[in-house]
Amino acid sequence: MLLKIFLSSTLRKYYPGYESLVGIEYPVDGEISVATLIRTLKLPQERIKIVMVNGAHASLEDILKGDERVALFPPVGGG
Amino acid sequence: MDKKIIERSKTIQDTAGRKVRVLEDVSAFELAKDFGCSLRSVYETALNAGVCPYRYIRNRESISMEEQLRLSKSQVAVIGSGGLGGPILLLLARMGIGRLVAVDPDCFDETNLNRQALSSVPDLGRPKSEVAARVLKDVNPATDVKVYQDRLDGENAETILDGSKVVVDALDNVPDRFTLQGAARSLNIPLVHGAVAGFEGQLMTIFPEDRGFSLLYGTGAVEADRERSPEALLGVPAVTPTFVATLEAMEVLKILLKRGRPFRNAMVHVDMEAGEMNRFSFE
Repeated sequence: MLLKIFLSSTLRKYYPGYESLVGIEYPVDGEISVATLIRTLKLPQERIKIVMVNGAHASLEDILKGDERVALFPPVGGG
Repeated sequence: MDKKIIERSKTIQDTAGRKVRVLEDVSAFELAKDFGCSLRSVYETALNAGVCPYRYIRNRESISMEEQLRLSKSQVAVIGSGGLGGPILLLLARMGIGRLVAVDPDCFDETNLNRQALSSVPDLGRPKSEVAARVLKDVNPATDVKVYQDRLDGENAETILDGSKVVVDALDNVPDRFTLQGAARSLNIPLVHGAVAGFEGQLMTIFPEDRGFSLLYGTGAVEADRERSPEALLGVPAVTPTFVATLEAMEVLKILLKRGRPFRNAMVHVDMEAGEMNRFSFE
């Protein structure tokens, strides 16, 4: 199974080679929590304010089946 | 005044060849002077009588005359007159919002020129709110503009927002957004939020009963290190705030005219570079 992870804004610089059109394709066997995924990808959890799974709000504790689209956002405040 | 407006109006054919009665600004200004009233009142009387102020003729059929009248009778407060606020104010004035409130404590400086629609070299050093009033008057003299050269705070927020039907967030920092949301809630006014960093932006419309900013920024324990914020690191190139400003102005129209579906309990995320706009749900 393949997770697709999209990073927003400054989170991208924590994943060298990230391409915004492609995202990260991450193969998993079995379930994985959002928090574990973030840790595995070496992303800074403290900078992630919003987690969306398949377009809907999710929490760090939520369990992924392995084929979801995960989008991670930092707090954006410019204007 | 109705009779005078009809007298001074003329019937023309619009771009689709339909006949429509219009009132040109040259006549509207004279009527305002004769009756000692604002241009806005002349427009409103005309719209009520089924006469279209000529400047709005190209809004047909997207905005009906009845809707144009409703916009004219509405007050909208825009908090911030920079990257988001500049184009929002310009759009709302052009669309014919009758009363705008512009709020910004700052003066224009050179670093604003890359993105802020109201900034220009001759106005560097001038207060943004003062420039907003001048520019908007030139864009649409039928929009009455009230300005505050202040930072919104717990003390002044309710005075500034009072009387507005919609409040627009064009701020550049998170703490002030919570202040704004608190005031909008206590006055029972819907709030349109936008924020940008780099080539990405976000949008959400928050009604008083909605959860609002806690969904986007957590519980209010906001990062003190603004230097590490995405907007500080990535900067803000003009295309992003201008696009998000357009989406925010459209939310204002949806709310005032009860059309479409405002983006409530959802975040619209825009990635200008990838060419994507996605709606993420909090429900």
